[in-house]
Amino acid sequence: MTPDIPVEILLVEDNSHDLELTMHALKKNGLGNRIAVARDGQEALDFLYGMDGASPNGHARVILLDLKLPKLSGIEVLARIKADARTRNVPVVVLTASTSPSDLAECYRLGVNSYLAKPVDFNEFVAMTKAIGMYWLLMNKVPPT
Amino acid sequence: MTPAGAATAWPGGEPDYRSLVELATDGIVVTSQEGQFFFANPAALRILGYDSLDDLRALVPNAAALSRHPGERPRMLAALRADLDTLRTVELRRKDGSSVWVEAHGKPVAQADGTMRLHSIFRDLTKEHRERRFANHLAAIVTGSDEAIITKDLAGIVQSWNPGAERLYGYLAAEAIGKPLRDLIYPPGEEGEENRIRVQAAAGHVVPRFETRRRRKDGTIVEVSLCVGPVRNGGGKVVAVSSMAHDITQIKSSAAALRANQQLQTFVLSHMDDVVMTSDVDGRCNYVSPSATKVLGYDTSDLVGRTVALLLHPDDVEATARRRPKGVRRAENGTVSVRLRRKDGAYAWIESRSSPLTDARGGLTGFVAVMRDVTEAHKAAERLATEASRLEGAVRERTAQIQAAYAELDAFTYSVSHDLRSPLRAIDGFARILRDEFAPRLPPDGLHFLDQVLSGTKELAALIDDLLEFSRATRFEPRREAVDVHAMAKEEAARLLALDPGRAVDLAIGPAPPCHADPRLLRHVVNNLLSNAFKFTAKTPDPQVEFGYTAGTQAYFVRDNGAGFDMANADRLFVPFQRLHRAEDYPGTGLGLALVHRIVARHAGRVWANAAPGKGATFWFTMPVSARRTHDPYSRAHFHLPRNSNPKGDPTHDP
Repeated sequence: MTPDIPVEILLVEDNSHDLELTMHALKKNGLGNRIAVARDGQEALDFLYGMDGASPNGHARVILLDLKLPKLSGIEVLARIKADARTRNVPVVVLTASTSPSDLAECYRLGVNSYLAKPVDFNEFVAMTKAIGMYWLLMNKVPPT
Repeated sequence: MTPAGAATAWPGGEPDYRSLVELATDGIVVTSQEGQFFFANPAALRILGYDSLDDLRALVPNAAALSRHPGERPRMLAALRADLDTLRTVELRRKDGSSVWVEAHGKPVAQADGTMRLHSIFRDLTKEHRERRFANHLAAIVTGSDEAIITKDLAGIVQSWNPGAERLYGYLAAEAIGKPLRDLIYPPGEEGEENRIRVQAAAGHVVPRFETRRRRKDGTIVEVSLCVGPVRNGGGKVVAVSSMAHDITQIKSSAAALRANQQLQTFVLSHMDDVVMTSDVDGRCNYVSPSATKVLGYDTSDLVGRTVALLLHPDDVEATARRRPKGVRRAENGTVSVRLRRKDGAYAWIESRSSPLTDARGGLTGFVAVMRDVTEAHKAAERLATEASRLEGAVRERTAQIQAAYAELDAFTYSVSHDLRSPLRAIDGFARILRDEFAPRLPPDGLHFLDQVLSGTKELAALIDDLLEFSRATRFEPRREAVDVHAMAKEEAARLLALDPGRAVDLAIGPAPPCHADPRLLRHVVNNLLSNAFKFTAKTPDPQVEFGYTAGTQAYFVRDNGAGFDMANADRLFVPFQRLHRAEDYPGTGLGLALVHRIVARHAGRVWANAAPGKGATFWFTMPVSARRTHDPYSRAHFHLPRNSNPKGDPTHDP
């Protein structure tokens, strides 16, 4: 993790297979350069708010968030991001294996910007990754922080 | 004064006349033409009960007034005046009000001054009259009596025979009188008894009533009660023998029946296990059968005169008083089950059937009850009830456990399916990268095997998706909203056609009414059935798929002319992972129809099929038409595998 370099995407993912596949898909779509990776919920928060929680040292244009994370769950991470004025406007795309209606409802209640279920079919996943990049990095506008 | 033409010359004068008149025992009176008394001799005054002529004259204005019957008075005078020298018996009233019967006659006699006087002479016949009347009464009594009254002379010849005798013996008086009538005697030849009795009576003894038999004229035998007595003449000499008899056949047979009844009753009451008790209207025991000792421990003398209700269990007293069953079961026919205290202090359960006793006029006189000891049966029933309740509890507990286990299994299925996706995604992803980016460096065999891996992951992905849907269909309560089933079928059919543009299927979506269902779940049903129809017509030359609705069974259907199946295997259709075709021929997860069944069952609908190998298949399903929530068949879906997919028991399977 290289917090000093401004990143385009913060990828929060604990599963190494999924992480590698996601990275591969992002690279295939030309999005592989400025990616920060957090392997659990706490790491994600550390990246965004610094180790002491006060000094921001990382900024991402979009956050790809898995829900099933060790230490701090994706739902809790989402809650913190959306509760904090500094990060409230950063688009959060939940990218998860969970199709549970309660997870879906909870994420939207907390203000998630998008909720996507990871397809098993890798081709579909690659297409989805491309769409995410196109939409959130090129087309979507956010107010300046 | 001598009447002209008198038969004999009178020797004496006036004093002789007077003396004779005064001596006469007949009453002699002389009155005016109007009946006023001029003279009455002592006999007349005696007969009429007056002290003197003055007494008579003072109280009786004229002779006619003596008549007892006012209607006869004018005739009495008229008869005298008319010189009708006739004897008449008339009833006169004496001074003391009593009656006297007299035979009177009289005649008018002309006086020297030209007036007329009436001379009357009368004889007191009261005694004779009374005797005659008594005799008449006796005759009437004998004639009118129901008793057969006959008299025989001392030689045994019938002298009188009343209508009662005619009725009892069948002989008319004319047939009987003057004959000994030995045919009456029964048994024949037993005249000895008859003679002996007649001799007794002839000797002046009254033979008290005795019972014997007589033979009637028609030969039938009649039981009679007979009494015989002497008949005396005025001088007290026995001149005949009378007998009175009446029919006691009925009484004899009633008495015999009564005796038999009493014997039966005594036997039954002393040998039966049930207790029979009679009581007065206040419930005090009049009689109790000996079995009371066995059942309740009391001697009959302990109970007679006591109020049996005092033996009731306190709980039963209250319940009986309120006439509200609580511990006491009151049946229609006057049957109650109560606890009665035995002599040893323990309570016996008694089932008592009672009935009111009434007098001849229907008034209540008491009750009779038959009481049975049902303590053992009661204990058994209680044990049974306890056992049943225990079993019920056990079943409830087991059911809850099974339901919990099923819920856990569903949750497990969901979780496992979910977690399987992640490694599957890795397998598919890396294999795909290998296939796409390293193909030039792989030998053809390697590429083939890689394709096999990818084909496997695809199948596994579909299976996981189906398992998740299957689990979801069970875990969540279906929503209920109006669904346009026709439109839904059109959409799903279009989607299926789009997936395989090369297929030329003759598709028909018929009219179908909307229903109330969970749209997401219902879409699975429609999609599954339609995609099955598409799948199983893949090898049919002229494939036809139809969606529609049959009003008769109120069921939606999907029909195809594809591979079909043997109805012998229909019971396996809706069981998870049961397949009727080889996966190579018709691929699938084996969960599609199980999911359809589960979704339909959760909507309280039913699903069934009809098919034949090579002739296609038709699947019907029903869905609720109203928004009203029907009974949730969740547990049914769990406990009954869909061998017979007919949860409502509707016998109509085929439209």
